Amino acid sequence: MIKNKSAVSMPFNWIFALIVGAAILALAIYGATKFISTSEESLYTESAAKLISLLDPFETGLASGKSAQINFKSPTRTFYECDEFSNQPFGRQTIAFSEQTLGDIWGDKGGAVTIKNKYVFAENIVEGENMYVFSKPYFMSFKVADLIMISSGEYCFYQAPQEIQEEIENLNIANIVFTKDLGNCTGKTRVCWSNNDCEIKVTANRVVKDNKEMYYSGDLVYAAIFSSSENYECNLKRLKSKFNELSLVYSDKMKVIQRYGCGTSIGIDLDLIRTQKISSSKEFVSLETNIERLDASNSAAKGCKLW
Amino acid sequence: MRYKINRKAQLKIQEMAFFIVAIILFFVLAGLFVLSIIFSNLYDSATDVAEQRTLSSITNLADSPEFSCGKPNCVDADKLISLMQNKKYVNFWPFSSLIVRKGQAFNKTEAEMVECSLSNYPECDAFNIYDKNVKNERTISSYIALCRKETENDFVYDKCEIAEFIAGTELKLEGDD
Repeated sequence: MIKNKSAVSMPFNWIFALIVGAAILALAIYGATKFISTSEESLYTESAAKLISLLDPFETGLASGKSAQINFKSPTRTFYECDEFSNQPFGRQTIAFSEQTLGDIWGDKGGAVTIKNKYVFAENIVEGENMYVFSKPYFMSFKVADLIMISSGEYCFYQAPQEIQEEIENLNIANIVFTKDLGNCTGKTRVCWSNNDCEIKVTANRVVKDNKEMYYSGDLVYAAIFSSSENYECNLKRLKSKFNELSLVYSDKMKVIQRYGCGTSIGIDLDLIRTQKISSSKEFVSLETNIERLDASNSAAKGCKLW
Repeated sequence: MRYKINRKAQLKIQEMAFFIVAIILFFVLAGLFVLSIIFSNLYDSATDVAEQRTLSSITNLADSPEFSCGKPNCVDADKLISLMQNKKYVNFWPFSSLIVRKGQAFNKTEAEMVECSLSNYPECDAFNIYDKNVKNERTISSYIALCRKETENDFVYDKCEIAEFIAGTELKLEGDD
């Protein structure tokens, strides 16, 4: 009888140990996985925050543009989102970061870090080991902000105007080549100033990409080429909001300098543009006529120019 | 005999259960200890990143359209008066506070400094652009040229003096929300 009992107790011990052991092991594996993913997320969030700091030197100041290349040790993905409704009136953008891990598997996206004082024009996801960044100042009579363009991969500019070629070559941007033969563009994103079958088509006032039209004027052409249409349209609305706030600063400055005998009538032109609402890049570009008038008013002020 | 064996088995199960509870408790405590160390480092690195961001931003701030007088590293004092009244900029820059202090006030204490306003400008010492009044803050400063329009014999010219930007970074400390 006793022998029979011990025969029963042995399997029970084993079953008990197995169940509890499995539970502990499962808990440990779950904990370790969670720990790794949390560490990974915090690391990626930190990387995104550091990347934003790296964009500060791209403030052009009085320069006509700046460029640089950022190299990563392994392939990375940066995610760009834009929201014109948050952080009123300026809107905001977010950057998130992810990296290729062992076995060519992409790690989970890190926490999105917010940028409120920069205007980054990029595709929704920029992927690669090298990232090419360049910036151009954007003026609406006075300087409004710096346009920061981020891209990876090679771009082939076909039949680009001379001034664009000169500007890009002066900035020494390594991932853009100019060609007069589309046959040299194999494996590259083709950007054409012609009717050829290219990924990106540029006309006199529009950039057509993924069947979407983005209207541009001046240096916004670079923003439209390197940006997704969502980021482009959203950033133009943010730029208009920035113009509105800056116009208030200049209106107040006008009142201050009037104390020193400086009288100008720029206020009316500033108000006119500020009150114009825009809902698309087409409407944004249409502000140009009023901006030219504003520029003329400021130039006429001679010693009392506001900017 | 049957009663004895049952009791022995029960004791064994009880012993094992206590042992398992003890092991789990040990691992939970050890895990919490490790996590507290890791998260305290996380606060440090968050502060480091925020300070780096303040430092990189402040060096280029004078050339931004809100401040620039049109020359390198030069701030337009006439714009500052307007910016001080525009509270929308509080959440625009990555600083917890932003002050422009004129050179004449470098040796003055905070109590001695005369804050600029539309009524006393330009006879004042510091422009308080904004202050989020955070609990813990570390400041970084950067020298700039501060220029404003001035008249002499009906001639308008730019009068410039040395000044500094003082930008604060909120320090993330353990226990802060």
